[in-house]
Amino acid sequence: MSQVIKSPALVVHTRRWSESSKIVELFTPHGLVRLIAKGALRAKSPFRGVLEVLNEIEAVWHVRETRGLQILTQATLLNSFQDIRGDLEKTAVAFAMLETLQKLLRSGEAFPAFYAYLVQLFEKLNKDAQTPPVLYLWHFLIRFSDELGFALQLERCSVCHQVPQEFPVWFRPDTGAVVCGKCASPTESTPYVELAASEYRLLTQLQRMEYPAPSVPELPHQMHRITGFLLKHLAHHTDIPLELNALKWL
Amino acid sequence: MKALPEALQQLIQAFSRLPGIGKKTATRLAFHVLKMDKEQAMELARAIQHVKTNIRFCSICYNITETDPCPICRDPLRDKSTICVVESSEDILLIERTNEYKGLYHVLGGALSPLDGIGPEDLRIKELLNRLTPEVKEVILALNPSTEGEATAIYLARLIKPLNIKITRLARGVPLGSSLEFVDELTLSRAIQSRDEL
Repeated sequence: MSQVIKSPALVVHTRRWSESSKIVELFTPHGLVRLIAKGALRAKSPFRGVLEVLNEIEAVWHVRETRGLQILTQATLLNSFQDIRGDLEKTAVAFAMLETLQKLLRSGEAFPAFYAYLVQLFEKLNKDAQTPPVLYLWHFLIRFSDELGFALQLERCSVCHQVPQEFPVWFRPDTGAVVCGKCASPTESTPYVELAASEYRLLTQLQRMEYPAPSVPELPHQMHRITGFLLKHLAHHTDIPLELNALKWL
Repeated sequence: MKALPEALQQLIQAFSRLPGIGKKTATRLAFHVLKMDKEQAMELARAIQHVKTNIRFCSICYNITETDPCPICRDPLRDKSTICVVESSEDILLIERTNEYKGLYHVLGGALSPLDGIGPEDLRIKELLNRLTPEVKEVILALNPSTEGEATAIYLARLIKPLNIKITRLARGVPLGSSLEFVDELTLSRAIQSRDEL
């Protein structure tokens, strides 16, 4: 018995398979799915131009339990996010998100709400000419941590439970919590990361926002530092080292 | 397979590693080699050995060549003010077949692909930048029209732009002899973007 699944999907990765086929990795509401697109490299293939990384497509595939790799039978382009592709920073950020998904998700784990969020995030990133693209990546990383069950606790100090008033505050990548200036000292041996007032406000604001908006405060100078500790938090909880290749372009 | 002599089995295995060759075709090819006269078979073996020992990369453009520099880089009639950047040596072959391009080439060795672990340091970008002397007036980015190819093109354009060199890329659009009905949306949207004035 074979089952037919029709689902929207984001193309995460493709690689050549045999002479003219491709193996495509899709992020769908059903989770990560790996499929074979037979003849996808042929000049007259209906998959041509559709199975490109970053594209949102509607995919149809047949599931037969006896088969290791399921077969993609149809794919229709829904959105190619043209303005992301035309901008190196936006492309790098979008690739970084897909890289994170590919590294951390296992096939079979369904994330319907997170799929809807990510497609919306790509749509907004595509249209947005004002917000720095890296804010989209931070928003994604904060939301993804939440989705995986280890949300950042930024609003209140994890020791005194008060809203931090004095800065800097200290962030612990292992717990994902902040400790206010009164409760922590920089000499402690725990791996604290210092957060200036502007960085703290930016992150708490991003966490509260449904999607990034140009109204967020000014970007801190050490952008890579913030990306670094958000990734460190994810890596700590998943036990998977996260060094994103796409960020090397920036 | 046990009925086959060991040497023949090895040849079948070797052929089946080639792209597009399954076990059945590999067996047919191996039997064909067996039926060939000895001199023909030795010629085939010598050709494979020759390719593996004599082909190297051109130290200027990184095209595959038997002589360094390659015949294209050595040709005094080639236009030295234009460099066409391609992903692989096979792309040079395709462009040369058109007889439309008379400039030089630069083989990058791939395209940026973070999910495959290919970053800028894995491509011959530094070598390209070293070739961009004042003599070079135009760089044509003839990279594959894939997401990775496009990202590489934008990345290169960002590095080359400050050098005041004209940067162009291959036009994309409807293939000759095709019909709009069969063109995918992405290609059609690119064709509209890069439309020509008549």
